[in-house]
Amino acid sequence: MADPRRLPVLGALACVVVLGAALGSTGTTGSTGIGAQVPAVSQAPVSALSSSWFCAGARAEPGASDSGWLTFDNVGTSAVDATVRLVTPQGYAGTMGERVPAGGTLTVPERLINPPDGTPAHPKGTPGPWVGALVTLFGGKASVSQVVTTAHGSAAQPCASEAAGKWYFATGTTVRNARDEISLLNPYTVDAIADLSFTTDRGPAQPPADQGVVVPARGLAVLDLGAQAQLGLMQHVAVTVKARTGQIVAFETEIATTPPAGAPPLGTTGAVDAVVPVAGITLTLGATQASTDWWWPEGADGPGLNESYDVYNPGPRPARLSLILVSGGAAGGAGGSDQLTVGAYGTAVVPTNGQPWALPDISYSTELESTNGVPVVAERSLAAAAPSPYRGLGALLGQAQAAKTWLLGTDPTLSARPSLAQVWLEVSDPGLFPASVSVEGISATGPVELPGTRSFEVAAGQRAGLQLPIAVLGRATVVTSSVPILLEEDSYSMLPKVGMNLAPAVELSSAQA
Amino acid sequence: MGSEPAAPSVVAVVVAAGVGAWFGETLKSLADQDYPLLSVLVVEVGQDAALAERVASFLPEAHLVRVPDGTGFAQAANAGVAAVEGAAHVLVCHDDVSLAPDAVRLLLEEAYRSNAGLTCPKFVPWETPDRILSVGLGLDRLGVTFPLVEPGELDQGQHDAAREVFVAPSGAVLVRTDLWRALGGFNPGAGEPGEDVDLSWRAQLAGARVVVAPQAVARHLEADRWGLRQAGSRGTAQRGATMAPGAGAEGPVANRTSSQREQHRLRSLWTCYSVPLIILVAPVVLFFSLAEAFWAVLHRRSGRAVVAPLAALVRSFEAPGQLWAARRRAQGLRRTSDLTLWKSQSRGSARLRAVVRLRLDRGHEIAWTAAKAAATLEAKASGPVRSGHGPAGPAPAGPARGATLPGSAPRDDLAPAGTAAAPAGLEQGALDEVSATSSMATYSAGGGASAEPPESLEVAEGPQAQALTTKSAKTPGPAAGLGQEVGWKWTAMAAGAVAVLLLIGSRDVLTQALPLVGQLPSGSGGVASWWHAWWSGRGSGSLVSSSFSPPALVFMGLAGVLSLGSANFAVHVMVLGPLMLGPLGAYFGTRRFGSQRGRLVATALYAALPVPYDALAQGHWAGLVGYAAAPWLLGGLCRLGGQAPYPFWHWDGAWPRFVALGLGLAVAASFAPAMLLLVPVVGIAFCAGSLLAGRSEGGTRLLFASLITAVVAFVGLVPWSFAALHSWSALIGAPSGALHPLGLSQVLRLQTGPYGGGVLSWALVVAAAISLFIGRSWRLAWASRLWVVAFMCMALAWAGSRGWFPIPPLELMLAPAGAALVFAVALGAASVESDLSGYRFGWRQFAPAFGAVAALAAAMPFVSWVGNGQWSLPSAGAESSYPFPMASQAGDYRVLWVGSAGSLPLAAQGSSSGVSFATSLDGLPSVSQLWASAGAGSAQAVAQDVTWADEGETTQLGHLLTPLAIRFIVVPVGRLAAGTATTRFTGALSRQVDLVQVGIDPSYAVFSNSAWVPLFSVLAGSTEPANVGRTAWATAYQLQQLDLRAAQALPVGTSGSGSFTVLVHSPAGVLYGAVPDSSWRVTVDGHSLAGERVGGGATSWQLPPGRDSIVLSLAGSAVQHVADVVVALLWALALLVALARAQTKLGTQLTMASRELGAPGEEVSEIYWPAAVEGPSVG
Repeated sequence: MADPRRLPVLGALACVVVLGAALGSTGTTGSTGIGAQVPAVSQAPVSALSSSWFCAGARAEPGASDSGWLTFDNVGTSAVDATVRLVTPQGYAGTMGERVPAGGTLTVPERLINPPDGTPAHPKGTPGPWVGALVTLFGGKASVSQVVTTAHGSAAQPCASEAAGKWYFATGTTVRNARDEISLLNPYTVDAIADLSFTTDRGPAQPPADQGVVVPARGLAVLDLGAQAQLGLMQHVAVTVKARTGQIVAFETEIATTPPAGAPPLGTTGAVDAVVPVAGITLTLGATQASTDWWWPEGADGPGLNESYDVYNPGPRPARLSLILVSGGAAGGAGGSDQLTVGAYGTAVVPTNGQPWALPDISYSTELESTNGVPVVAERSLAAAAPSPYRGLGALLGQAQAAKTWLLGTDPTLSARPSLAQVWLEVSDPGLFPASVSVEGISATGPVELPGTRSFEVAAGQRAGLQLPIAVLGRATVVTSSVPILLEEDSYSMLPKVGMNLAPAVELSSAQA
Repeated sequence: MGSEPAAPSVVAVVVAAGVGAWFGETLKSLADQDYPLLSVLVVEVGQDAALAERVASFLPEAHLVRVPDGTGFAQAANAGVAAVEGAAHVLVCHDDVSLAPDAVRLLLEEAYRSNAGLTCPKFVPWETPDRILSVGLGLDRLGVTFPLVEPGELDQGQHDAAREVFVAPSGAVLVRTDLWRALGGFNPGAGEPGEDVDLSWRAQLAGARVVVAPQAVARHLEADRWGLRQAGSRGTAQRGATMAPGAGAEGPVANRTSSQREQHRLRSLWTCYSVPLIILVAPVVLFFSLAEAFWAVLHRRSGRAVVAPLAALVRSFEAPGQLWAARRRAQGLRRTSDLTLWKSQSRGSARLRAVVRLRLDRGHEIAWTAAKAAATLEAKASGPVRSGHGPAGPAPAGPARGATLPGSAPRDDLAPAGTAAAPAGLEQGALDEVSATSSMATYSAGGGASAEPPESLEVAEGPQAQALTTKSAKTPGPAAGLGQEVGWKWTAMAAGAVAVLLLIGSRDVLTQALPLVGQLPSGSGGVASWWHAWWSGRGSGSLVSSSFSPPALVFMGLAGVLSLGSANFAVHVMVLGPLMLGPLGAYFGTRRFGSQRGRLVATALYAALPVPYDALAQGHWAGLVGYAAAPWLLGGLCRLGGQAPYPFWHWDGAWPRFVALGLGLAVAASFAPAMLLLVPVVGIAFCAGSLLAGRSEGGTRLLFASLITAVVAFVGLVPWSFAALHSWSALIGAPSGALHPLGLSQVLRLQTGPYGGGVLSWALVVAAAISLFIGRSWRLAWASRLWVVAFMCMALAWAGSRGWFPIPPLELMLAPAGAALVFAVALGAASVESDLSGYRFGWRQFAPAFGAVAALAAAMPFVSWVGNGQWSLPSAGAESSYPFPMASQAGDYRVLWVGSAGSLPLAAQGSSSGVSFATSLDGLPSVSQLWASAGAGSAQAVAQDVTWADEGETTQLGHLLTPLAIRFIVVPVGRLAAGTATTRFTGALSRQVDLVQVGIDPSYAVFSNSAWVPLFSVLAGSTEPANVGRTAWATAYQLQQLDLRAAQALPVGTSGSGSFTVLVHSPAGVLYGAVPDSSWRVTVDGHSLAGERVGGGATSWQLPPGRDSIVLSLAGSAVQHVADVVVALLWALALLVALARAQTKLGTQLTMASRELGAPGEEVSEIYWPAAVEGPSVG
């Protein structure tokens, strides 16, 4: 018998190896062009059984000097039941059952139903007790936002859709006309213990009073930073909240009162005892993690507008950063800051006003990039004062998650005097393909066209802004894009009681677009 | 002469019984002695009229003493010596010993020189005096003799120094007469054989020395051994052969002799040892007796053989008065302490050493059978080859030679009627053939056989069993050696090295309980729990119900029994045993390839594969089982394929082999069910490889062989296997999956875990490739098949790791690939030895060096792996993840385990969103949950819940799991457990507001369900369980708003079966049972309540008002019990039959091999254990 065949065997085995190598290299996916490290607040999918929302940073009882409201937006075509459990630092404060109509909006005040013992009195015009809301929505396609109204302005922000073990706030201030408070909400059934660390004008700090903070099970704890000796009268305070056990939700509420006359504003070189230049309020949900890339769809400076980017490096390695401004359209341009280094556990404030690389009087999108891979937390701060027609404070954490469909929640404060307000939808396309963006309202039968709005295109890597018509101000809006985009809603009001608000959108899953 | 000093006189006492023609030579040798003062006294046993005349013809002055017929050798010798007076020494002789002319003189000189009491000569075979039979014997501390020379050792003067020995064989021993009388001669009570041991031992007790004088040579015919005595002779004829077990005196005689030897050995112990030593030795004796009985059971010996060791022990106390008298007499002579003699005796067990050695030698013989037989056939390619050398008569020890000694009697005189052919009675032609083949058997071929083994051999059944014929034409190949001998010592050294490395590498695992990592079994419940789990079948722990228990529980239970009830020991054996069993399988699986070096290299490389260590590190027990089984199955399939060098088997005669292999597969598949599917895959690969190599007919046969084997195994596992047909997961087992898709380099290096990632791991592939490049003939064909097997298994593992289709644990898939590669390495070695010389000078000539370097490099990483001490197995597993609360009156609960299937401590019961899950009852899973059950149960509901949580569609997962009494969710998240899906799902769990993470173990994320309710509880009147019958979404929607925390728990205990009577303090309500099926029954006042399925997989019973006592019972399944018992009995029966048949076949094969080899020719597979290792008594 002849020898077995050798070449076919060797050949076949070689083919197998080559085929395997070829198959092994398939299946890799390309980058979307933006890091997706930090998830955005997101709405549950269409088929969801339930979703939970956690709201804090507001005070209860309408009629108080600053009070909170909850707004429910139901994008779906079925009504959604909701259970709202209200808690205060003193304990359980009652449960509300609500039903959000299909395609509708519901706004309810955060009123204590069963004030627990120890709840401070709140005469009209004085601050009400702190309140947190644990909201369960039985169904998908709905989200919860909260609005804080004060005499110094209002702020509307989506509530948190999940808890986390760490929270970061890039900036805050405890100067003499400002109050900075951190609200810690524990949605779980066992107590959580949190440690807070800070970076102030004087460097890192870990006040003993902020270590081992017990956040009761399904309860709330609030820390007034300005009331602490190590943290008071600081122009900049960055915060890290770390849960030793359990998971929590952290909001920062900052209220600035009218500054004393003649006091130097924050950012003035060499100023002592600077103050926030304008009264206002910001409500910020912290970042659950640091990132090497942060994006803001809208940036602007000009007369009366003081913009800065506050960067906090919560890690032990110095971060080297680059701030890039990109403006689209005919007036397009680009600028970038010098290389910026933020030391370990350090902070930095990068103003754009008057900088040689800035793009004054035009809108731009901004990207903060860590060139050495050290993640940071960054927040855009904006103060509007004369000669700008608008007033107030705005703060917006950077975004690191693009999506195709977004929901902008209801802001009932804008409906008071819509003619005195402007609302802009700011869109940035971080990807490689142009985005076709449409703006629709919600209804019981599904998305509806909003009068006065139109679809528009956003070039790849560029930005665009759409001013909403007065008729639809304050209404829930669904923004849909052909490619993942970043979105924020900036509202500017001439009414000091309304003021300015920079708000992120709530991500909707593509399945329900 | 009268003036010279008087020389000591010597009387030779020759005991003659049933003598044959050889006796003349015995007498002549005595007559030819050059010592002048030698007298001869012949003790005639029985009446032989011709004997006296015959003695007189050689020794006219000899004396003759008659003793009655049937007198034993010892008594006859005693009687003879008693008749001697005035002699300083007596030379006690057998009648089949021929002394060299100077033997008596040399013995006497040495006796005086050494001041010896007993002096024995060097014994050589009757016909081959250039070999050595014995130079005295050694004795171990259990009284077992052992030879001091190698069997058939060539006499080159290497043992010619006089020295002390412990036992002087009674074939010819010179004894001082005074000592003899002091000792009382042979002890008749000590029995025969064994009288020489007793005499020598007692002599040393009395302070005498026992010495061998090797210059004095005695040829020994061993007439008893070869059955050459005349029929009817008794006494000495009962002394069976000892050097070659079973030879000459087969069957009952051999067994009886061996049994007597055992009995006499033990009596010597009781006689010669002091009391403290007896106390010390007796337990060891008992242990070995039990071990021998167990050995006999394992080898399917007869019942007599099984009880023989114990019977011998009992019978050693027969005639206690006689024993006591002998003991008193021996101890009365004591001049030497036991401690002194103890040092002279061998340490350890001579018997055990001999068995190990025998087994190794058997491996050598088998390894050479095919090549040698093929070579023989090559030489006789045109016709049948003579394979039977006459009846089952044995060949003499050592290679036979055709020549006979001058002066020997005609050979027909040497072959008494009715006995097996004596060695010298073989035909000259046969002797020549044996001689020719024996030169190959000793591997001293040098140039070796020039023949190429044929492509296929056919072995016929029945009467033609010993007919080897060529089935096809030979392949004309270049002259090639059949390899060179690698002695059993090398084999033992290699095995020892591997064993030592494995022990070192497992040192930390051996010294502690196995952690509950992956699917490693737990011994926490004890052996009884394994049997209980098998018998009780389904419990309430799993989400899915199973009709039949996993059959592996039976084998685990048996292992537990063999471990004397130590579950921990049994678990260690079952988990770590594969590390040894696998290489052993590689050693035996490659025995046909004709290269002993190749076998050793393959064995070592198989031990060095990363597969088992990766499996162990990740807790993949099935992977370890696959590793252990793969070489055995691969070798078995190769053998059933009937392609050269394996014998060709007719289908109709091969069924015992199919049954044997199938049952072996069934055992493996009971632990790793995917083996049932893997074997046909290997068969397909064999078929494809055969086609590639142009050997299509062999491929078809291999494919069918694999299918039949799988079918047999499937039938062997009925009814469990039949039930498993309905569930892919039950058939696949617990798929491990990979944390990340395996890369091509990982697959080729067989790396699935922390081991095997180095550069040196490529060396195995390189070494295995050599056979493809230099192999020829059947070696190339098999190399092709094996490589296709390797590649197919690798490809499946590679694709499966990408989730293209469900696969069993990756190690289970890669184990056959590893086995195929090391088989290819062995083929490469065979090719180097056989094929390389056929090529002209070129790059191929570097193959040996290249292969050696590659093999060495492939083994090197293994040496470094042993440093870890526990094969990277975590020190703690799930058992330490969280202190699960005991089930109590607070109620029972389930634990939901979620993660990659390979990381769960139990078999997955379902999967969803890239993670697998399973539940256990009251904490850690039971061992019965290591195997997946067929059926759906509530797994679908949990899968849906998991999907909802993973996709962010609920934050109330705890509520959704409430109907299943799930109190904890545990996710393995350690280094070896976490994958992308698991990490994502852990995040999803953290978003559930009714779950709270507890525990701080970094390897396990444990979530407590704040919404759980116990397994059985009574709902308040106003609480209604979720409805069923609507959509799953609607049910879940209702569940997440249902608050059952106020439910009143019912304490039902943790048992999976039985009845529980509980008091319900609620006058009325709904009994809520988190049981997914209707196996639980609720009885109130003797009336059974009808259960109703409610949402989420629970059951509810409406309790009648006014009652406060109910009975909960879990119905057992009589059908299951009956089926299990019947199948177990059938299985045992089939196993016995298959083993018997397989052993018969093996025996036939070995006999053929031995005959072809010219080796001793014993039926080595039928070795009677004690007899097999007894040293030669030169009877």
